[in-house]
Amino acid sequence: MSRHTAHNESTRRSRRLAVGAAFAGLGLAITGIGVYAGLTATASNTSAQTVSSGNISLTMAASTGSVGFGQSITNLAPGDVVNRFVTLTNGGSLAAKDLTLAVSDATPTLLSTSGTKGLKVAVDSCSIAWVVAANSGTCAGTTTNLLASTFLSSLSSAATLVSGTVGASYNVRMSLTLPDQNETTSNGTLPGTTIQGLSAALTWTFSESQRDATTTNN
Amino acid sequence: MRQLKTPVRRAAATAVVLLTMSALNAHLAYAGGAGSAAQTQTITSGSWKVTSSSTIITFPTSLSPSTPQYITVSNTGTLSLLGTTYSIIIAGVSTGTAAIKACSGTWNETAHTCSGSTSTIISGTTATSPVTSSTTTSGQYPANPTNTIRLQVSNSAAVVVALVVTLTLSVSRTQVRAATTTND
Repeated sequence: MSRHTAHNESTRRSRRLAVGAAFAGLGLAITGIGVYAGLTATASNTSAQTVSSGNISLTMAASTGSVGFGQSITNLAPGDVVNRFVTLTNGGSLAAKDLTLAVSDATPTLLSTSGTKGLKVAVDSCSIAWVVAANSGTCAGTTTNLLASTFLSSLSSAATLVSGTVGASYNVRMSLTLPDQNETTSNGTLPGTTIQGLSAALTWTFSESQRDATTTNN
Repeated sequence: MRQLKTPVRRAAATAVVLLTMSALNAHLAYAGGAGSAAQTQTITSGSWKVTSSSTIITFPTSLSPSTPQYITVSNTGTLSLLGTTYSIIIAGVSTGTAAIKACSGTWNETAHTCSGSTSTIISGTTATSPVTSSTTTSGQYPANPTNTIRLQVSNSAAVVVALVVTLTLSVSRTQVRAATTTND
């Protein structure tokens, strides 16, 4: 019996020691955390700062009275001139620079590839809207030439129409012409490398870039 | 998805991700902002062509003036014309004159008569061949696309050796309608 009592007493001591050690460890851990956390202080703006990115947007639409690019041009004879009128609008929140024009042809022929016989285009801008009516297109404001008559073959890479800051909008006249040239057909046979009976599927692309990036200190 | 177990694989994957992000950043930096507007348009050029139903007209040997023959001349181009050039080469033996004539009315191709008045477009002999003549006279050429005219080819005298008239119809730019300016 006394042996059993001694054994129980030993077990209780072991448990007390274990519990004591656990509390001691926990106390050390808590103390340690307090030491490493130290003191912190923060400062933040009381009202959130709003930051927004700008955008640039260029749109093109047929001018009043004009069919624009939406209508095909057919059966051109050498020397013919077809004027189409479109309005370019720079509608983004950022200023834009360097307005350019490029032309691509989905079905290339001499019309778009020849630098001597092919189509040419000239671009003019009117300070106010063109008046297009009864096969007449007039500018009552100031006309500015943006691109001298240029073969489409030279516009596969973009040509600059406006260098520097681009205005809010442009009233544009696109003058397309098939240069006058002489070809003679005999008994219905077209000459080699003829300009006759060809077709082009043109894509006119106007582009602009964002204004130069700035650094602001305020 | 297969897990990356080894440190080497993790490192490689991290490198790939970092390189990709770096490339994307570089692209954005160089691209900047740009706006564009584009539209497509179809453009076709016209053509100017005149053809004949026959370009070689043969008159067989005969003791009297040959029986006239008829040809149809058509505007097979897409543009209106202001005129046409006729050229003939006359080969064979005949003292007659070969001629191509138009009728202001309608040819009776059996009686070889014209319901209106006739006009000679071109004529010649074996001695004067080849002959070329340009006409701007209405009715002597097909003015508009798909137009056709009927012409008489004749020889005025007996034919000793078969007479062959070779016809060439040509149209140059100057015989096509004038250039126009359109604003629409």
